[in-house]
Amino acid sequence: MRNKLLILYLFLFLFLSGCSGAMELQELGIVMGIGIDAAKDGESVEITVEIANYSEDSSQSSDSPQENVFSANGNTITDAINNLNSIVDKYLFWGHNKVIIFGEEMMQAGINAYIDAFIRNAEMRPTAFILACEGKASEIFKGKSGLAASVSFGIAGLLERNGKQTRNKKLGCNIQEFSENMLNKYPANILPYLKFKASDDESGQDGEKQQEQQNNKKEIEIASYAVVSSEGKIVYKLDEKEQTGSFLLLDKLESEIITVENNSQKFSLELYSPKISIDYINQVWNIALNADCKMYEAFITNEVNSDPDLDLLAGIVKNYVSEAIISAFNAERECGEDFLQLGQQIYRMSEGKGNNIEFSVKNLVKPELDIKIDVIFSGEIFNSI
Amino acid sequence: LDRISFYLEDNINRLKQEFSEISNLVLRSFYVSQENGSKRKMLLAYFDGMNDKALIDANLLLPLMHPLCIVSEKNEGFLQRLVEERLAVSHAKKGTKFSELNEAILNANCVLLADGCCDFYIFELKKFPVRSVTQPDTDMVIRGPREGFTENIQMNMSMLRRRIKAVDFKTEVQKIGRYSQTDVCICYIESIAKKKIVDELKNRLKRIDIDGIIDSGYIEQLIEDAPLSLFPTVGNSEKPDIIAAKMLEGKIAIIVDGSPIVLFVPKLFPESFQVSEDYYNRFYFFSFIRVLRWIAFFIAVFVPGFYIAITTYHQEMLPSNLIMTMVAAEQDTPFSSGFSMLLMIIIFEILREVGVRLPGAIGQTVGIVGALIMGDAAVSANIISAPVLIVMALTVISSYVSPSLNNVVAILRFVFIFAGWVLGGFGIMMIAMLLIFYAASLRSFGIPYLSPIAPFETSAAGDIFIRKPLWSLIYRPRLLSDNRQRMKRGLKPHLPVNEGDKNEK
Repeated sequence: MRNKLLILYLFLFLFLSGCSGAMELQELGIVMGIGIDAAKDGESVEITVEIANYSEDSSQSSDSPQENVFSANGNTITDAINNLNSIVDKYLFWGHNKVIIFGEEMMQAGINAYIDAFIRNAEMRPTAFILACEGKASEIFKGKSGLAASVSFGIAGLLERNGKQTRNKKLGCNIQEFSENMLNKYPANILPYLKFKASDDESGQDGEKQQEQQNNKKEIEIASYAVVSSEGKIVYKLDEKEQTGSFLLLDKLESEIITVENNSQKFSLELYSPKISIDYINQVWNIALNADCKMYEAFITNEVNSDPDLDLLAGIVKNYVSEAIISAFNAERECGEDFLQLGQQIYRMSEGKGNNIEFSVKNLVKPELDIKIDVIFSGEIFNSI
Repeated sequence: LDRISFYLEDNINRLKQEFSEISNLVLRSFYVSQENGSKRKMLLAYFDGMNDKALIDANLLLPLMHPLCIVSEKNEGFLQRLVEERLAVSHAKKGTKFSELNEAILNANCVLLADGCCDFYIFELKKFPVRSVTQPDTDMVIRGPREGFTENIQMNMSMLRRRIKAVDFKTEVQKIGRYSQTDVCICYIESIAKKKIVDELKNRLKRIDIDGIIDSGYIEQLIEDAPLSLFPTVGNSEKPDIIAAKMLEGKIAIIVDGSPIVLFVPKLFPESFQVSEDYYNRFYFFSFIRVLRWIAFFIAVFVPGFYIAITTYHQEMLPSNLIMTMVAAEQDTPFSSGFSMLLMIIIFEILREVGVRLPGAIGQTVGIVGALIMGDAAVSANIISAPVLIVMALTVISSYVSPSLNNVVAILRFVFIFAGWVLGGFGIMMIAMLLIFYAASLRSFGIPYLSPIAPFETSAAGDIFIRKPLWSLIYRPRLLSDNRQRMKRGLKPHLPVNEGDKNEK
């Protein structure tokens, strides 16, 4: 009897569940990237999705990238997605979405409320990157990023593969990091800022570029980083030095190539895995940085035939690093947002009792720096190999 | 009433009556000369085609019918005197009952009766047409003995006896089958095998009351612990080296006359992944192969179900680039991935059945037409997607890595396909858990089916997922034998210890 009941349960279990939630691969429209803009027609949001194009002839798809980009308007993100569903003949699947790009107007209006919709979406991965862009986000999908056929995959690939091995220092901020930073005591974020690459002069174009022009695809680059305030608004754009300083202070910089010129000699040095420690003592930030610098290239003209002075090089690099850190501090003070997470650090150092400590980005003073740089030189080549 | 009659004619009549309409019974009567000049009628009875006629002529008829053969006319002990003094046959046994006489003739023995005697003699001069010892098609090895069991029980027993030359090696023969009267022999090593298991096996064999035992498979199905179970709880092999090794581990072999497949009990689940060759070679490579076999088993059972679950319910689990490739492959196919997979697996099972039953060359042709042409055509005609075909092929290949579990795998695969199709990954996990609970509840002759994994036994762990060096497999599994020490400790080979070094130390 027990066995019969068990079998009955199993059958009920299997057949009453009715394959709910089943979705065949053929029915899926796999969303690779989302662009969010302010809508023209008074409705609040325009959403643009890039959907994977799986036609077997991939050359055709790369020629016409717009055929898998769809846009729809709506009062909210959910409303816009709903409207999008009535345009696209497939079930929009968000599980493989790589990027969420916000247009300039959106960035100025504030994006926090929209991020919330994505955090609540069960299909969406928390590893999808959030980016800001110049102009409209929907335009970005008409461009080209790296070698990838899809813009979203190209951008995501670049951000995923940052680090030592690729010497790519483009850092991304994904949904999870963004929302964690927004829950901090002093919430702020930095997001990669996309832009179309400025095209060269018409004269002197080579064949490849002409072809590119014909295809109407402009190269997209991560031009700078946008500081986002606690309300999710863009408040500042970091220049290159400020970026380096910020990444150093956030302990996210693994490698940076620094070119040094001295007495008609050129050197390329790699700042390699810098170790940074930040302390807040007597209301002054003490920053100690210890790093090795590897010599990658020493371009020495014939007139100057001497070994490079390693101490001198170390000094130049030290100056560069100091300037970068100080400029990041200045940027933080200027924009008034704690994107370097210094306030959070104080809060953490005081084991969560940081309510009594007064921290204000406006009152940031120049930090005390203790920077040690060792230049490692592989030796001089005297004879031809 | 069962006793042999004093008069030979009565016995002949009774034999004729009992063996009526049996054409190949030979009743050969002849006379022997007696000292008082009279002649005594005698009878040889045997089945034609089952006895060695040349031996009967030379060793029974010729000595008795020779003109110089004159025997005493005394009735008492007449046959015994003949057997002791004149008949040069090694196997001779006395009998007095008619039932014994019948049984002896039916068991292909030659029976000698004499007028005026209340007894008879049974001579074993069997000669059957037997298949010679060949390499079996199952349990193939590159390194290791090539011989396999035959259909002859005596030959099979001798093959085992040749490997285990000990008085401890017991062989107990009993007859099972009302009509077939099949010899079934239990073989075990008394000092190693657990008496409880031997007794249990004897009891289970005793219980069998059936018209006939045609193959050892009959016995297997009648003595199993869990007759409705998916998993086999009685093992089998066609090779004497494997059976001898099993017996040395404490297992009991069952040889059935007429079957080249010898059974052994208890059969445990981890054994399905052990191959004789594992022990004949050095351990590194074969430990790796052992791990591969386990992996292949899981691939064969789970991968089709997982494929369906992932493509139907958990598309986010796949890497983005892989899902793009898979969608590209699937988008033009008309069927759902679950249905395609089911279709392909059923087609494969049909092909397999055809391949096994058909003669070699035709079987191969069908295999090529079925697998290669149909598979390729189905993909290029967009009826089946390439990933489905790849998964199916991987599964099928993997299912042959442990041949003894092949049938189990075929059924389980269907179960997991349905579970994945209807309930996704959740269903697969549920059924997998049920399966593990079920397997853990099974017993083979009282031994837990999953041992030595569950209950875990440290000393036997070196022979489950890997195969430790032979010199380190010192103990037999605890549950299989009370006599646990298989070999002396410290058998690991080492350099000879120099006398000088010893003194220095």
